[in-house]
Amino acid sequence: MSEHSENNDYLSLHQLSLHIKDAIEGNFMQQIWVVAEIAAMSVNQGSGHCYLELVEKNERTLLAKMRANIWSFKLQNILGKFFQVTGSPLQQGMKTLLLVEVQYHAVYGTSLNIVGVDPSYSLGELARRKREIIDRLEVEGLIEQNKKLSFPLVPQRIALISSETAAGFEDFVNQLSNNPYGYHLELKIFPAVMQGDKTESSVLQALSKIAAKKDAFDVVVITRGGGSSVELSAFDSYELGKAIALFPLPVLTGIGHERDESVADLVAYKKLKTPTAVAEFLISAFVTFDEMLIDAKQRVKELMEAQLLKEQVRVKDASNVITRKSQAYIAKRRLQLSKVSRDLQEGAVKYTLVKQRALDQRKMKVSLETSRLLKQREYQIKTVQQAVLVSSATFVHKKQHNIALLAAKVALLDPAKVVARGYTLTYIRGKVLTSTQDLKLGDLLVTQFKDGKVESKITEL
Amino acid sequence: MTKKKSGYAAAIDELEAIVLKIEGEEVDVDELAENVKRALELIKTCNLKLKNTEEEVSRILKEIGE
Repeated sequence: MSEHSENNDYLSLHQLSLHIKDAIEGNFMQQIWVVAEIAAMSVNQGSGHCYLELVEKNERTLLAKMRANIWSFKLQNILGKFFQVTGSPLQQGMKTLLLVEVQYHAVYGTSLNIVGVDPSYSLGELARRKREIIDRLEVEGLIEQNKKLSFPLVPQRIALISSETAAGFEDFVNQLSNNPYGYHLELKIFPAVMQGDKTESSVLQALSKIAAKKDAFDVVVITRGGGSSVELSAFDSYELGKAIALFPLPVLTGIGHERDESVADLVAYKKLKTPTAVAEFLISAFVTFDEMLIDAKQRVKELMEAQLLKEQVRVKDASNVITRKSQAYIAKRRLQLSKVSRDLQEGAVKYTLVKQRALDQRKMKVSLETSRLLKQREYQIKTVQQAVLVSSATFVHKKQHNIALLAAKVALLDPAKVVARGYTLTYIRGKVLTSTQDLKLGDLLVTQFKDGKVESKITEL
Repeated sequence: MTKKKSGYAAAIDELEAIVLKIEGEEVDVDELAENVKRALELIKTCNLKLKNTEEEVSRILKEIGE
């Protein structure tokens, strides 16, 4: 070391950097086309210069990395040209073909001054990348995933991912809210950045917010006003494509690009060109359902009427049968009954005759028997009568005889007879005097004789 | 016979059962009047129900038509 210092055999850092600058810039006198990926990119607000970090990498490792810049006076030109061709801004993550000047600065080191860009390279690169994404989604079976969902008959509750500042946003909302049929649609807006490099993450974020309350919605709409001039590349993302494909609700896109179809469009349930077309599609689902309802109503009406008619006929038939059959039944039974009744009558007559005859015979027998008995009794009575007669005559005779005896006896006792035989009867005061007991001196006595009466006075007792 | 059923289907089933019975002359005379009476009741019920249904249906159809 000391040897070098003694001989003044060294350079200052600045001297060295000047050598390097000479060496480098001497070797890169001309502008060079270089392919590089933009790893980072930002514009200094004060100076308007754009600072980039360019890289090259294979699958795992970083092969090269270099700073680059676009001076402000070139910036608008480069960006405008790039956008015009690719439909996408020059941005981080892009593979680009750049026209550069190699620069060396003593303080800042090596850097590339970008003076031009070949957008067609990026375009091809974008297309290739998009192809890759689509292939991958296809392999993973995600392209048809969202399309397999059944679309709601009435997509009434709509989760809208859009930017309220985006062109056509108001039109879309108005078109839905003031539809000519007066259908009521519930629109819930999930604001998202719809252009620039924040688009992908912003839309993904909105999707996950909706997924968290997926039961509150029928359908998801991603819209952005636009047309061909608007960048589409944010919607050519694998992550966004996968998120849409696997979303539990049908996703409709209306991210507005006339010519091209983004990955998001490809995996969506249905891709529509414009927000207006989305609104029309939603309204047409309502109209279709409405028509279905009208048809159904008509069919219900017809079926009901047919059924009612059928049932009426059924009841009427039953009623007729019952009337007819029960009448016939009664008639039949009546016939049976009258036959039975006739039989009964005949039977009864016959029975009566038989009984009558038997009765007659009995009567005759009774009559004969009676007269026989009567005669018998008559005879008996007569016999008795006779006997009575005889015995009573005898009795009377006997009594007569007795009486005659008595009479004779009586006649013997008659005072007159007694007197006649020479006896007298003495009376006092009209009565026969049988004792002297009651006699008083002076009493008058009458004595009856056979040939007269004599009055005498008691003079002595 | 007078078992209490409800509903049109039950009524028409019972009615048709009675019709079959009468048609088949499976009824006694004693039962006939009872059967016919019941059948008339059922016919009345069915008719009323059909009429009500018809009115109800046309009312509903009118309602949703508005």
